[in-house]
Amino acid sequence: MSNWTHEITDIDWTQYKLADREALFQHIVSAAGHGFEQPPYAILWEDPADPDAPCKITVPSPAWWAMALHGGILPPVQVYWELREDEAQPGFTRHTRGYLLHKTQPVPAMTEEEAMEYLVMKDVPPAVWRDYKGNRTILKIVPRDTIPTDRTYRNAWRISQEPQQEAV
Amino acid sequence: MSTLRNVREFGAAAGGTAAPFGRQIARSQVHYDQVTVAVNYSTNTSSVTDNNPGDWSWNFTVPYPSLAEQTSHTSGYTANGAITKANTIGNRLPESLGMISESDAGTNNDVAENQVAIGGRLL
Repeated sequence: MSNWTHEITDIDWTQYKLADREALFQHIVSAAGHGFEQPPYAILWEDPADPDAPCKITVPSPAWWAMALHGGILPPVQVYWELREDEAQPGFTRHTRGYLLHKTQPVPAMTEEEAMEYLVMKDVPPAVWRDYKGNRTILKIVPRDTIPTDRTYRNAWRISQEPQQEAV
Repeated sequence: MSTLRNVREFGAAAGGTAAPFGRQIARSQVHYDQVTVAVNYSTNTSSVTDNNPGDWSWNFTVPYPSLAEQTSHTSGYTANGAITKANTIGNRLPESLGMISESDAGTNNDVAENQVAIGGRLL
């Protein structure tokens, strides 16, 4: 099973809701006998509100990664910020602005760097990537092969403050 | 911790069998070089966060309603295009349906037909 590196043409993704776009994309890829490659990068981050906690590692989903690089499927990250604001409202019980996901013009194909930045802004709390003012480095995008393979001391992992060293 | 819907499951790192809300999952893996940590990616998952050795969380492209709303969203889901009114799926949430929609605002029961999942991959 080879990795998916092709472009799907002749589909107007905007006519589908986001979940359906994803399902269709994955269906097409699997039907063609392809698989999704593991994304080469991960996000290391620490929660400034919980400085004693080990660093966290956020890894893109292979399918999401493929969609991000393909383009035309995912909504702008600002959509998620809008929904997040809704969730933060007192008394929130359910989303009523799902159209933001489905009707907003999808973003075009992203580079790997853009995709990782998108993911940071989507899945990492703003307190980490936007609001943090401290001197300590609490966020890094790193190649996966720099993450230690021995998880014996996973609870003690911190982001290295040395340049060029992503995790210790 | 995700700022979006954040579902935590314990034990996924060990066996890779846990999945949020019992959703049908597409098995995949997170590779840390030679070490492979098995993680299940649900459909509509944008990323998986390894918080600590026993705590993983999933981040979704399509946020779910609050847990309090689950029961009011469990009728009317469709599989392969067929509308099912029965609560046969209980509190389990379909994995490939958009759980929020402009068309489901204001109702607690029938999820719009246009939320039918392509391919009918449902439970």
